[in-house]
Amino acid sequence: MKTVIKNRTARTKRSVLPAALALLALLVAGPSFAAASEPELPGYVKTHLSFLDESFRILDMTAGKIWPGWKNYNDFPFMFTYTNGLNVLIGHPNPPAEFHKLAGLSVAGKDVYADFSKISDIPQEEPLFAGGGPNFFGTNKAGEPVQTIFMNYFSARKGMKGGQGAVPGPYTVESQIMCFIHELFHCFQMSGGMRIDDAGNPSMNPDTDYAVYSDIEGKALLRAYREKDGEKAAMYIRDFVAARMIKYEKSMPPEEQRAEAWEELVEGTAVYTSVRLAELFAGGYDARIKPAKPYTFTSFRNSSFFIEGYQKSLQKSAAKVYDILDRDYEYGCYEAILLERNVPGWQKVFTEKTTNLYAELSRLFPVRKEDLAGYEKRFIKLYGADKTRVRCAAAMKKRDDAYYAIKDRKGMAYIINLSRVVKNENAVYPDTERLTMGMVNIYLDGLPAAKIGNCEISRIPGPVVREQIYHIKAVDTKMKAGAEPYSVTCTKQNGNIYEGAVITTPLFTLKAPLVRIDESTGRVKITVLPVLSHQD
Amino acid sequence: MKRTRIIATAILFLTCWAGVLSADTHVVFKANRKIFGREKVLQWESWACAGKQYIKAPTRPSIVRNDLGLRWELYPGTSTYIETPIAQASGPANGAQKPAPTKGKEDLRFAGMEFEEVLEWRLSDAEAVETRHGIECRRHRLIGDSDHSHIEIVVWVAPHGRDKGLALVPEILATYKRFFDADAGMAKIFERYPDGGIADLQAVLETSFGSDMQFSVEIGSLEEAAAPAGIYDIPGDFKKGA
Repeated sequence: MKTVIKNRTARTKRSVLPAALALLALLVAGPSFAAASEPELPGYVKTHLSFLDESFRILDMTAGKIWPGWKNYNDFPFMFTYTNGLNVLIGHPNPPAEFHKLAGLSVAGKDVYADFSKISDIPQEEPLFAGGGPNFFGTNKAGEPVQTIFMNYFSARKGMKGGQGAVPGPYTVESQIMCFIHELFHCFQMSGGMRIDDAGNPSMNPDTDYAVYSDIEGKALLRAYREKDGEKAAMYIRDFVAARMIKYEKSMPPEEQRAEAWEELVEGTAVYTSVRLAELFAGGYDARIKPAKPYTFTSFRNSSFFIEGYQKSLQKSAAKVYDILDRDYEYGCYEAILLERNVPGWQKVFTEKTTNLYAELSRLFPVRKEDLAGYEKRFIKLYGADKTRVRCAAAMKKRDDAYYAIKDRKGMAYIINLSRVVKNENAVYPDTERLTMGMVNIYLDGLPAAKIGNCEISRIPGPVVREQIYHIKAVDTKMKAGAEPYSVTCTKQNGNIYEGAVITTPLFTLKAPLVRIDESTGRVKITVLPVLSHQD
Repeated sequence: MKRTRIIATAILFLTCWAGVLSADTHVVFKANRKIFGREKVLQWESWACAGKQYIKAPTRPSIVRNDLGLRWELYPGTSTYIETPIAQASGPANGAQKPAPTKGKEDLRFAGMEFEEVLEWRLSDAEAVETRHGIECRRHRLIGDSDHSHIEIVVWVAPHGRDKGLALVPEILATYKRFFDADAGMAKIFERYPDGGIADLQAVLETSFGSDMQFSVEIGSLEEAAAPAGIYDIPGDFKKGA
């Protein structure tokens, strides 16, 4: 490995002035300087806090109408995390020591705290959107873990719908409010509001049968939702039930069936809160916030946009060949809506016993096993199942071939670890075509040149994989024995940490303000690090 | 398998203790982990003399009797104990190969779902000589790296710490195995310091999703004293369990 350290004169000159000013300020201000130097909360955070505040106000008006008995939405703190390392905690009963209370700020009567200790120079491009979910953070004063809603902000321009974005794009403040409410509903579910069979996330890759019958399920749900005639709607619901029965039989082991049902219940009813909110606020409501551009907010006067948007999402989900997780959001939502149309007070059963949406629908609209052959014929005629099968089988072959092509590659592996500078999957090559196998994303044609977080990566020739969300892996299968795997130029080196680094490998060049390089047998791992604002 | 390796390591140290110690050593360790703002501190306690050690772990106490070739796990709730012959407990040495997986047609429905993060360890040269709790230590940096995880452990090694009851730390660290497996890293330390023990240890684990988890093990107190009577023996009212 070749390292070249560049002259640091320019950087040193720049750093002298702030240091001198800081010293002067310390001398002049004396003991009060520490308080005066506390960073100010950026304006975008105050904007996001106002959206959260409005969300609680909306829930005061609607929670009981969305789900009878939903009252505990004020009990759960929020953590806003930003890609620049800023963390803001709202309403936590016992914030860890690194969080400082922000005087004069509150959200629905809850105190606001911030941790500035890890803040870096990564720019925050507004509008920023946040997705996330509940997790435990810190403890209350009795030492018990606190269920906290993590909301991870990222630039809305870099994609909206991902594993975390449960609301259809494009970005609006309403979608952010719906997302806050979605996550609060998860807390309600987990705190005894519903009886949940904790089966965990589905963890299988789709095969052709899974994709074909999922496609039919989605189309049948949409037809049932749009159908005004009750008998015809019931027929479509039976189509959904029959397709699922066949899918279970042909493709899904029992634990995956449980996981799918769990995911549909948990995520589907959370999405249902958004649709219900859009219905309840049809035509708008009297909002208290008036956000400035680039944030757009119409006080839900555009609620039909969301109602139609979810139908489009369902349509898209049905057509997806490789997806096994995202579709559960929409499928579950429309299963819930269909239950609502057919069973007054349908929510009650979910508080009384452990069940799921599919089980309840199939109880209401049963399908006999001996009738399934007839449904198969109907699926071909009504839903084009034979053409869907041809399309899905070809797609599966393409994915499987790609997986075998990358699986046992030998050579020098280069891993770019972006997990320290990126907090959302949507920021990592969101628009590049990929094939997915479990936690492995395969980019057969490679990756385009990109700026991600605070680093620039040149084009990487294919095939490239992305593993565990944030780890880009390329393998040089032609490296000669004894060849240098990479070279570095930098402004400063401390062990394997490089400042102002430009790393050149046979496959790509990476430029970043701070990296760590770990070498081991057959592997070079480049971890891109954030530059903290208080870091010399 | 992993646990037996730890036991084997502990036993190796105990073997070497025989005839060295003339008094009991009483050590209290504090093991701390901080994950998602949640801090958990657990206390471990050890009494040791030549060939014998009593360990009070947060879960249950155990007695290691190298002089008898036995380890007893005590279950006070049921007044029972489980006996493990030390020789039998000795597993393969660190770094031993796992049996090769049997080859068959891969079910692609489950491909790419799990990654086995096998950490490759490197131990730095001593960075400093520092006194920790009155014991002269060498400060090292032990780094474990895999495709998606990274752990950096600053470790204060007492070159003759085995005589001070400091051989317990790998066993404490082994309780964090659901987060990381440091057996092979610990082995590197004891290859370099065959008579060594660990006084303090601070670890930062960078997870695959970018969050840090912090772990530390440090001596709370260390003294030479007479152990409570019978502490290296199974309590009289305990019965052998299955």
